[in-house]
Amino acid sequence: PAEPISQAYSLALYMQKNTSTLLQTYLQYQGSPFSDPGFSAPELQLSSLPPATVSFKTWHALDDGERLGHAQGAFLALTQHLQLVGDDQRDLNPGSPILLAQLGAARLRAQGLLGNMAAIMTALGLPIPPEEDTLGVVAFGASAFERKCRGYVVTREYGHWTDRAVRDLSLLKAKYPG
Amino acid sequence: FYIFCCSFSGELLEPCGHIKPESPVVQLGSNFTAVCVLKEKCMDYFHVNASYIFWKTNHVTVPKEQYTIINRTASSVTFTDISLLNIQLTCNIRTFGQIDQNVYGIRIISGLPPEKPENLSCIVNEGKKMMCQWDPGRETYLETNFTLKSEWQVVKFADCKTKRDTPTSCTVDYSPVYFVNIEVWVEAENALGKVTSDHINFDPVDKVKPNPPHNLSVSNSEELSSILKLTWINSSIQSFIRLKYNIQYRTRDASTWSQIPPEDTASSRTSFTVQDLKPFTEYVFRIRCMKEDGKGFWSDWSEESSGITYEDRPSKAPSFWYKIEPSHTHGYRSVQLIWKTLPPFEANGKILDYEVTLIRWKSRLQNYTVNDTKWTVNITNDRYIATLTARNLVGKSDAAILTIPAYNFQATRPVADLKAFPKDNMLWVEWTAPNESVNKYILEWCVLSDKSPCIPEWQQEDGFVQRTYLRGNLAESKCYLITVTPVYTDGPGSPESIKAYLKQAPPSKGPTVRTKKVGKNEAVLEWDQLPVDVQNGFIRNYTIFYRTIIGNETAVNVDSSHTEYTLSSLTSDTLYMVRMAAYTDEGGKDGPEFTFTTPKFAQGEIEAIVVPVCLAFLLTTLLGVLFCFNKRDLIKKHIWPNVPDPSKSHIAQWSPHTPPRHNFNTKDQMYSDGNFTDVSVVEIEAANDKKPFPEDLKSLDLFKKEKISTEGHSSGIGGSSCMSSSRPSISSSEENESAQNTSGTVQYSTVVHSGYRHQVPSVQVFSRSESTQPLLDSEERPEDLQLVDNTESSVGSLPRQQYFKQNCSQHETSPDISHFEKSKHVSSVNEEDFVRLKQQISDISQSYGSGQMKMFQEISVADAFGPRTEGQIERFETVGIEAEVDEGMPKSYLPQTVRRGGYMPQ
Repeated sequence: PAEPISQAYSLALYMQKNTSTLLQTYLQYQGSPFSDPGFSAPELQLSSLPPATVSFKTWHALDDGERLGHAQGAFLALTQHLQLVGDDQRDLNPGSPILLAQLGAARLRAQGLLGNMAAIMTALGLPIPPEEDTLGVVAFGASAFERKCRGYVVTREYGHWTDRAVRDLSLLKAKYPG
Repeated sequence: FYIFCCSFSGELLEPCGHIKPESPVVQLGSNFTAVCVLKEKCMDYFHVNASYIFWKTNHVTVPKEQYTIINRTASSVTFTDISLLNIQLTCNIRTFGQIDQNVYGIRIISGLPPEKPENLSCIVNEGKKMMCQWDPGRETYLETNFTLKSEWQVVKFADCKTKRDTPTSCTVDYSPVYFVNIEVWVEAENALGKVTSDHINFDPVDKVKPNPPHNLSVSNSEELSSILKLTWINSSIQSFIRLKYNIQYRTRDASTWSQIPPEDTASSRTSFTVQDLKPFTEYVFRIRCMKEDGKGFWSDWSEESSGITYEDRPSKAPSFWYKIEPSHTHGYRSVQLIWKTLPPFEANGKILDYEVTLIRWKSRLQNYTVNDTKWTVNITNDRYIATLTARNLVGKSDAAILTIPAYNFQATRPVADLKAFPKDNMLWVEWTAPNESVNKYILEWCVLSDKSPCIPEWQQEDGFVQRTYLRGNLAESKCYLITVTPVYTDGPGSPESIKAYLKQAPPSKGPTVRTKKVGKNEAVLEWDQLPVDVQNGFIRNYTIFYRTIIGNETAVNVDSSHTEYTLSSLTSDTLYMVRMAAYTDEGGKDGPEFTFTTPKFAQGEIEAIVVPVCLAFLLTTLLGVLFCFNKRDLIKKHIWPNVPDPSKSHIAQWSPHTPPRHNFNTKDQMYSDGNFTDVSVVEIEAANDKKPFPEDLKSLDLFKKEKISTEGHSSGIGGSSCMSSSRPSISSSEENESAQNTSGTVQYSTVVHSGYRHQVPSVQVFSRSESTQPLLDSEERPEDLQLVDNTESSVGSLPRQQYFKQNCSQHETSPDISHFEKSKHVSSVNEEDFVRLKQQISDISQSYGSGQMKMFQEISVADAFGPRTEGQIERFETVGIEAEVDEGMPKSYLPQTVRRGGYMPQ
């Protein structure tokens, strides 16, 4: 399983280098207050998106299946949410191809990471959790501000989950050396 | 194409039938069947059925054998092995009246199904989207679409359709996602089929071609002159993949690159230090990178960047040599120290100056700083040691040490076996080292030419070298004089020289051959050595070509050391053409042609022939003369009869005195005219005159004198006979002889007259005259001869005077005597003139001869038969005188006549 782990880890690292850029780019396009320097709203959360924050003890206590399962679930949700944010931004900021490209690239990478993790689970003989629609019908009919806030949370959580994936895979990599 | 349609009741045009399939695409080489179905209306209208159908392909009727009538309305045609790409097929009917009607037409397109695309490969140029390419396989002749498909396990990407101009490659329209395996394949599809290539599965990061590193810069180090440090900026891909590099470098003027060992640059970095470089040398660098694990592609080369290594002290002492020039100051020598600039790889920097030191034997050191590469100094005749160092920014080179020996030093120990030969377009010099250890060798060389002086170039070789080439711009076909001088610690050894050519060529001019000597059968050829400027190589030999105009050319090879050659076995009196070619190792050149003719006779041959012939002739003549001389009495006896002197005869006394005297006068003149009796005397003279030789003259003179002297003693008849007999001895004229003979006899009898007429002298006359023979003996007395000889010029006078006294004293002096006197004088003065004149006279007298002779004959006859009247005689006299005048030389002539005047007494 070393090869898919290594590849997933590389991808996670590669994604990690771009997450802060994505967040900055996103905020920059949303106008005030999002674009204000030092903007931060950690209290904002999305019920449809599992938070990445977890205590070290809890995280460390997870077994491989649970750890990968959490990440898998999170990235599955992220891909859907990134798609949603992309759609939102296409409406809100149609003249921002850079942002749209970055959102698209982030979603694609998240999908790629999903695939890589599936490969790891296959290699480790773990059951692959079924895909589920985390968004449902709730997402539609939101105001522009809500959408901007939603986008902010998604891009922020994308970063957090990427960081956590790097940690997860780093752990796995150490556990299953090549 | 035109389709026949039937129109009913003004409705829309409708075809009379149709073909199935409508627009077929057929694989090449396969079979194809088309069916034509007619409409009922048409069939009724034209009264036709399916059997009336015939097919055409591209306007050519298809043979009936390929038709099949299916039913009343349908007929099919079948083609096997379709080979044309585009066929126009028409269904026609032949209606009543043999009118062909076109019912329907289709176009059959044929081609091939696509082959499976092979060699699918993808590349991700950094910052760009993924591009894949493949081999499409065979030509299909149909429009074939290629589609690049790609997918992740969970995601399918959009198809990549090839553009028309690049059917074998496609660039996807999504950004590559590294570290996620992607599956890629190609689908090829046309009307005849669809085929899919093998799937390839790869991580795009393994197909990356990074951008080359940029901002490459080079910096040197003052501490180390052999290193240069490179720094650069990697492409952004380095943030998530590790790279390895290739670094290449070269010197500025080199064309090939050297590469730093790849293992030294196999990891990600942004700088590298290149070592083992030459000091003070400009190097050019370039760099490229690729993924560290070797998957993917090398980037393009970066832009080149260059840097110069720092200076180092000169690594070698300069080549160092000297020339001694004569100095004007006594006790001093002018020495020019010469050295060569160090090549950049030894100078290791910019040479600032040279330091020269001179140490006189056991003396103080003198230091000089020189910027030039030569330095002239006056030194004493002592031994000196010169040293030379080159200095640059960093330091000084080692010192080159040269011993300048004392003035009277005798160089010895030359190199041995000096050889020079061209090889690989260079002139190599090879030698054997002397036994002693040599510090270095100095090679000097120059072009040998008559046009320019030898300006030597030189180079230095290390003491262990025994073979080198001349480092200079050498020209071909030039003779180089190469001198090798070994240099020992105590001074230079004696030089050795050799000549060599870088490349020989045929001489530019041939030798000019010429003859030195030409003999009857041989010719000595000579020529000059060719000047060195036209030799173009070592003259190995000469070839002499010679030929006659018609003959074949003969070639003779001559060694090059000769300048002369003898051609032998030549034909005499023949024109030869000879030319000469000089040969170097590379070929020869003819000189101008030289032509010479061999003589008919060898030198001295003519002389060898002519001289003996002349000598023989002379000898014969001499012998003949001697013989005649010795046997003159015998000859005389044989040839001339002894004629008694008429004056001594008794019969003479019978003759009256007077008439003869008259006769004498006339006769005297008649002699000169060459008249008969007396004339005969003239004839003798003439005959005498014909003899050009002095001997003859002498003999004649002798005769004369003898006669004259004897006449004194002998009787008149005897003397006259003697005279007459002497005449023919000198003359060769028969006529004269006979005439004289006759004349001799005239005096005695008439018988002679008839004898003359008949040209036969009477025998009786001779028999009579023989009786007086003893008288002649006295004439031949040697004493008389001696006397005559001794008094050559004056001798004539005495006997003649005596003679005249004896014979003519009684007569008063006549003009004749005065004539005589005068002539005698003249004759004594110049005998040569005399001879010449006599010759002239004889010529004239001969021409007068015949005519006058007749005339005189008559006169003499008249004389003989009786006295004449004065007038008549006088006339003759005048005639005689006139004749004398005509002849223009009475003086010389007269003495002769007088001498012959032995007749006078008559």
